[in-house]
Amino acid sequence: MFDFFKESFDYKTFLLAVVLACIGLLAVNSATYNSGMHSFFMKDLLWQVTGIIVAFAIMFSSNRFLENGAYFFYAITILLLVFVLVAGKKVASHTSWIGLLGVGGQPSELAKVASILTLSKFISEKANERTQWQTIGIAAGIVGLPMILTILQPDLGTTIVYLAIFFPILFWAGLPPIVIVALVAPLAIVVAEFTGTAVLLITVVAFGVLFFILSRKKLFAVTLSFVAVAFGLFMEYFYRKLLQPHQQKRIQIFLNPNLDPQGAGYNALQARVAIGSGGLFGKGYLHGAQTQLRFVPARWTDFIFTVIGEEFGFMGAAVTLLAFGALFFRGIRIAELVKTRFASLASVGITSVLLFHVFVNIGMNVNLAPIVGIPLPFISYGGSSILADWMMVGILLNFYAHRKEH
Amino acid sequence: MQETRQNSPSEPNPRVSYNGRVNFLRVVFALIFLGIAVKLVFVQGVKGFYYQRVAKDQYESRVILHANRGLIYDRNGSLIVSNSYGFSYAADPQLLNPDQKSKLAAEFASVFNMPASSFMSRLNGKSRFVWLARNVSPAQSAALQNFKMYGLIRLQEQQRLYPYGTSAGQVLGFTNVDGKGASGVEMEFDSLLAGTNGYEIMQRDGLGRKMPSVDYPKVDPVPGCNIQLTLDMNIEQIVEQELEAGVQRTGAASATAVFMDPNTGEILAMANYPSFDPSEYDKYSNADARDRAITDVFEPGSTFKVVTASAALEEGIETPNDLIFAENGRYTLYGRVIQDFERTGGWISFRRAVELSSNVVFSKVGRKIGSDKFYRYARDFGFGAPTGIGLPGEVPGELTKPYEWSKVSLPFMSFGYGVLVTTLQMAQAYCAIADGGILMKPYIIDKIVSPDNQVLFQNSPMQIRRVVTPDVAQTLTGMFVDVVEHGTGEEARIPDLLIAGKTGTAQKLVDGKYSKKYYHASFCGFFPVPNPAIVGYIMVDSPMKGYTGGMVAAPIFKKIAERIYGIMSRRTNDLTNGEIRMVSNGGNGQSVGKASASESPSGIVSDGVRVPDVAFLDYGTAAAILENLGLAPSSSGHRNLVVMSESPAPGTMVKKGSIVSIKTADASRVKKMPDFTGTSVRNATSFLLSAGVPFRVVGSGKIVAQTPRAGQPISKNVTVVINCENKEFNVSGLY
Repeated sequence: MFDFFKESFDYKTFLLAVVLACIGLLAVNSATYNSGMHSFFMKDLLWQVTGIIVAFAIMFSSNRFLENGAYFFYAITILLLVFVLVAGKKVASHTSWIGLLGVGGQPSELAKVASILTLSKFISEKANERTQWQTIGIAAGIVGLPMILTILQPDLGTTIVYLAIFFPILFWAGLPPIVIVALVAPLAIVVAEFTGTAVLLITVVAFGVLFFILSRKKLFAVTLSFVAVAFGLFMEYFYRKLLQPHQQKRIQIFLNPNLDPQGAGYNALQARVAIGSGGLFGKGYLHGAQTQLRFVPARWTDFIFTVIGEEFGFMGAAVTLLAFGALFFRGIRIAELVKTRFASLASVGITSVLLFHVFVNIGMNVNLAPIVGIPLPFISYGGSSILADWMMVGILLNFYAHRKEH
Repeated sequence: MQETRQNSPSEPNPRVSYNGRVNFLRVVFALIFLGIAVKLVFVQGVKGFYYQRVAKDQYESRVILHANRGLIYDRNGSLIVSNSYGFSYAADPQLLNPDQKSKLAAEFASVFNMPASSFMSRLNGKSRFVWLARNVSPAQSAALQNFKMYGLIRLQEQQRLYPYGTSAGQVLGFTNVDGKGASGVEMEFDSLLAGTNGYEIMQRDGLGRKMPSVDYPKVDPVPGCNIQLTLDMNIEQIVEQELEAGVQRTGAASATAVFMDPNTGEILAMANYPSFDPSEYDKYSNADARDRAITDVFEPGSTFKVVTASAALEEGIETPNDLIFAENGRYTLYGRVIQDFERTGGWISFRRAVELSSNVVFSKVGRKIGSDKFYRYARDFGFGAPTGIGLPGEVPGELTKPYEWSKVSLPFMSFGYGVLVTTLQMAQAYCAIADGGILMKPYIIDKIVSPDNQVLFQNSPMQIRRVVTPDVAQTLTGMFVDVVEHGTGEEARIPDLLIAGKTGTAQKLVDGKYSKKYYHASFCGFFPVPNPAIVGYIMVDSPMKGYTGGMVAAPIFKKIAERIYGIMSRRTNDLTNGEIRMVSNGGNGQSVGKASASESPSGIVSDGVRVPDVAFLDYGTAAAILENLGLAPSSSGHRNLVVMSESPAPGTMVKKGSIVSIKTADASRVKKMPDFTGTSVRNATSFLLSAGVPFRVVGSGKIVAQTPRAGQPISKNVTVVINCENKEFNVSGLY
């Protein structure tokens, strides 16, 4: 046992996760301290401990357990997602089931993990039997199915998270950059269009340049650029002519909540005020007026970073960020160290999903990303989310423990 | 395409190709991280202070604690202006949907009897705060009591309360909707009355709830100063009632009167009719709100002869018995006709000329005096300059200088044309005669007392100058008595009271011509002669039934004098010390016959004692008091019961050893308010304490009024208010 911990236990990853969990416990306690929700801290603690146990269980499992169980795990989470949708429709009028639905919404958290494992397994095993386009198509199907089921809930934030699984894993699997860029282009153009015509123009030009740099076949690059321009023009037409002004406005406000400070932007503004007013050293634990006086909504989940920012200031926020940063670099390092392709791909998937969560969540808090409502790993209150985070850590620990095995 | 790439997904051994991609991945991750970090530095570092202020602004709100505005009392300590708290309504239109808006507008339209559209237009504004109704009546706020809507705001606002209604309305002035004094005493002393608002930092949470913050001390408001006026509201009300009656009787446009104490220059009453209600100032025009006694000027006519007569007597130009040719009432001078209203005939004495108010004689006397002297006397009497009474809007009138005069100026001025005066200036001038020749500065502010009962300002009588010698003043007084006894002022005559007076009738200047229809009818009088305590000037504008001062103004003065004299007599009977100045000054003269006929001094009858007032005391105390005086209380009482009545009545002289029969009751069982008037505060509070009823004492001394009135039910929820005589100006006992 001692040898295991000396040789095979990635205590760095584990401790970083524990540090984040502790920050989360402190923050949840503060966020609920004056709101009559004292049970949240205990529940959070319970979930963190459960998560650690699950992580250890995964770490101690065999080196083939994850790879072999990936499809099965995936199938179960897909069934759960379907169940949530069906049950949700059936029992919409029964209030006693609403609470259950709240929990039922969470399989999407587990589905993310399952999708990472499944996508990694598919690419590492089956991909060489197919052409590149078939591979991309099936890979898109693997993440597309839970995406569709999640967007139907509807949970836009979690749906977008799958993009952070799809592209990095394909990139890590060796997909030519031109393909990645070509796949990202339409999404980027859509967002650029909503941001403004000038941004759209720059984006389209930038993609054209990228196509010429990345592709050796000039005709192909010209074709792609042409498609990009055509798509951009279509989006311009779609956005300006087909959408009603109020629809345009809704999209605008979604991308930039500041446009509606009394409505959608209120939460974003309050969050920013909370973090900003924390200054360098913060107002002291349990002394954040924005938090304690309930100006910040959902301060124990989506906006939990405001608690850290306000009460511990930039120092607290920086420590939290550094812990996340170190965890991600551990994730990439494990992806490098492991011998199996499956483990390497899954490590990258896990790391990028965590990074995406951190970026969007903190971005929401500081007006860098739209308010899509995805949790901050280990810190936001929420059982399924914490469990999924610890599962991912467990998977990384498992990979590390078996890093020398093929 | 790219078919031969080494690191395509089909590549079995990816290790080799990782290096490039792993670095790329690290760079991308690092850039994303850097983005967040830079943004954090910006939000927390660069804009940190800005957000700190934003945060503070939203969770700390400063709540203004409004200072109670100072109270205004009359000379007897009666509260003339106090405060009440009324409700105002506002709305936040952003919180209301169109349905709610129309419902709200409909509700307010029905309660306030106004079109719903007027509320709707305000509710459709972009602002987050619109007033709907301010300082609503108690009935209106009661009607809205149960109407609740998210977005409807109900605020408590201080309102001025005028227990005397319209009385002295123009003098007191009004406070505008923001509680600032906008006219009269309220405006002149606004900064003193206003006090200093305090504030409290309240903490507000995200749900909009407010709670006091412990981090900041509360700054209490400092109430405004209280002002005691020289007005006597009893006299003020008498004057106002009689002015109104006089205006009604004569169909006049308006009337103004000033009553003063000639010995001090204190204003006892200053009245204007039509009246003005400061609590509903928005229903009146600016013209109604002004205090015409000081803001409006008129040509006084014959009452101005006081100046001519004073100059003539003082300068030795005429004596009362000098004969002057009256030209049979019609005299042409430089082409202008001077006429007498009364039949004056040929040669008449100067005294008779005053009695009959001969314009012809006075024009001649004026010319004898000469322009410079005449001007000096007019000036000395205070004309052409503001009196400095200390109220806003006072005008100086108009007294042109001799070098500006034409040939007819002096003769016409001699009987009151060609000068413009205010009612107050006229009253002040007659005060000088009543006061033995000394012009006093009129004043209406008696004292200003800070909230902690410090006297900040105490006014006192101020002599301006001697205008005529005491002899001349006495001679003039005698002549003015004749005016009332058998001259133009006969209508002001009262059998028991010697009144000096002078009438005035002036044609109004309408479109540059002296009208034959519109007159200023005035009367100035003072009494009791020989020691006048009251000077009153009454000016009636455009009377339609009768037009002379003698017919129109003198009867009004008579009614006022009768009633004031009644009060004075009563007060003299009650007199225990010399505090009531106007009586003590006049009380030694024979003319105040009734006053001096008060009953013989008490306590001299041997073996006799007066029955003490033990009403409402507990039986034990009452018995002890009686026994100390050698009286025997009837033994029907229990120590804990209170005395409800005693017989013989308090004040009755009885022999020592007499039995005083006492009826007692358990105070807590008494259901109806007893009559406290006439008893002392000590006795009344003894009862109220036993009964467990909350109460408040206003003033000190004998009780003169109470609320609830006698016979009304007693309730432990209603505070009993006891009003006393207020010999001392006692602020601490008030609100």
